[in-house]
Amino acid sequence: MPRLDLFRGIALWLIFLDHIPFNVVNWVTIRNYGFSDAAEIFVFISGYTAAFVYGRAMRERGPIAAGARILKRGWQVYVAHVFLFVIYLAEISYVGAKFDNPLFAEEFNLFGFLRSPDVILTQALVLKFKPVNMDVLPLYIVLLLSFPPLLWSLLRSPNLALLGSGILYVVARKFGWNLPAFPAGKWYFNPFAWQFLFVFGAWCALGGAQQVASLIKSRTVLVLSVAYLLFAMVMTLAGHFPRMHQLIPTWIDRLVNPVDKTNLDPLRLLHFAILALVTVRFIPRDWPYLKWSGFRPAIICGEHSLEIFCLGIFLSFAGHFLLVEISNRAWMQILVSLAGIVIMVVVAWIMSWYKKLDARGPKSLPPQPAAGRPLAGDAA
Amino acid sequence: MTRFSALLAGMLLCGGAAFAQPADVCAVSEDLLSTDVPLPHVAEAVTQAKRLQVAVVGSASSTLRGASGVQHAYPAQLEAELGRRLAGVAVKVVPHIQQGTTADMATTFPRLIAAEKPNLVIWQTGTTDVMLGTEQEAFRDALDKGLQTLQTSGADVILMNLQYSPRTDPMMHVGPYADAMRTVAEDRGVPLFDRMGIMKYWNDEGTFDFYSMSNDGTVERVHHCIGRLLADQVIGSGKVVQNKPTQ
Repeated sequence: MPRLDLFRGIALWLIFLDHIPFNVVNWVTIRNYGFSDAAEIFVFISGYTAAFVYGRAMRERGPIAAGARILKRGWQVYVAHVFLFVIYLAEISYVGAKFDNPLFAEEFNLFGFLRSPDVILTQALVLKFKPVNMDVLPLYIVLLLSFPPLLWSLLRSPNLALLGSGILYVVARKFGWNLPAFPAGKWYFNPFAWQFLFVFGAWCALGGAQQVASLIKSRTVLVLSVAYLLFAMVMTLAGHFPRMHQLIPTWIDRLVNPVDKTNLDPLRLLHFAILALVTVRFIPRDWPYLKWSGFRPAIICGEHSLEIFCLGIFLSFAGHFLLVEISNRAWMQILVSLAGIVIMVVVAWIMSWYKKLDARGPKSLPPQPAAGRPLAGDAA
Repeated sequence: MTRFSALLAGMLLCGGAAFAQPADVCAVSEDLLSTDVPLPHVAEAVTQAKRLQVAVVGSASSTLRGASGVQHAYPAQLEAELGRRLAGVAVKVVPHIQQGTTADMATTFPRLIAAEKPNLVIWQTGTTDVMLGTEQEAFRDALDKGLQTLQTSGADVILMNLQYSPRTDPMMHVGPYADAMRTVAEDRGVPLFDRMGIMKYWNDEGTFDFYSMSNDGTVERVHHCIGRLLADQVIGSGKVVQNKPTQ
């Protein structure tokens, strides 16, 4: 599915860039030009892939075997999350020990939890304490844990399952359902809301995309879509430029803002759905340019999404660290951003190479199941 | 872009005068310091009663550590600046530093108002909520209720947002809270003192380096500048005739 991998790879790059704070290169990422951002792409494609891979497994080997593989994948993501958390702790401990500017004595309390590792490590292991930028994997873990029964129902009756997911989304938003976080508040990515996007991705993979084919081809829909995308762009840019913001009528501003990320604001959901629709219209599955070598780096990153995602989070910590400790001039920001993407591509390339090596290994070994990394097939 | 055009506009407007005076270290671009929202109680206190009572309710970032910390912190700087510029008016600024969320702070308002009867309350908040991760809706509600309490008590209000802290901001979800403060203040008709935007401007312009780990006296200068700009806002929004030029 090179098209899917291409966009997932691009989303991974964007997530990396967005996670480096105060970075000029952030200006190229889509979150500045519309309501939705790379998180939506990642969750949607994750749902799509999960359904595509494990859906086939469930049809061929039954729900128990497929469910077990899904849970195994969830465990892998959990281990990856804990690994990232340790790296985060190392960075924050270093900064916390060195940084002592009395102007920020209050903000410095943030590091207070380092004094009680008993609490913080336990809370992190049960996914209640989640540092900023480390909220996506816990969401993914919860989604995978609940995916076996969900996939089962999606295979039986896709539309009914999607409807159920939609109802949960609406009800959870209405009644404020969310999982608790530590030290206070709720999850930054509300699983009860974001599950809908994941299920929507899964639904598209299991034949839903064909159901909306007429919508994708419709000219009226295209015109409305472009209008909405432009509107979202104006509203989002206005958030960055106070002078532009003053030109927006207050009632429109109040109608739109704030665009809630935690509970996946319908404006964001719609924005992503439209982006996906327009993309699918103009970039068909057999788009000849998908074979163009210029897209290759993004595609191979997309093929190893979990590993490259984790690497990207790590690189964003490291990049921010370099910007703070060495220089935060614009050229340095550009350099750090480019170097990070190059590292992501190189690592993805090495992983592909290993994979080929494994495939060429002794014949007695059974072929590796492509858990979560579907390369075969072309459903997208 | 905006900053550049503001700078350009400023240069065109001021013309030669800008070059005659020494550059103001605290200066920020115009759009960061809005004085559109009037402060009628302040205006009345200054012109009629000749007595201006201000209460600053804030968390630890509204004061400084150490024995002489309070004297250098922005509330004291604001008092000095207002006293200097509002000749003939008895200006008193009383800081109330507390540790707690926005909701916690708001519970102290009725007693504070009854005890001091301030003409103006400067409410600095948000930091604790960001660090704890208070829910967005609860935060907005607490903010709105707190502002309402102050507004109905016969005092003007200025809301002050968080500090710009480049080393710790990336570790917190600051954005949604800052946005909430802006919109709630707008809805309540309360001027926002955009401390975060101002400090970011200083950092970007090289006025102050907030990445720096050491304390080389910048802390006091930062608070001095915040006090100065707050005075600009109070006087500008209070539509109070300036008795003396700034410099």
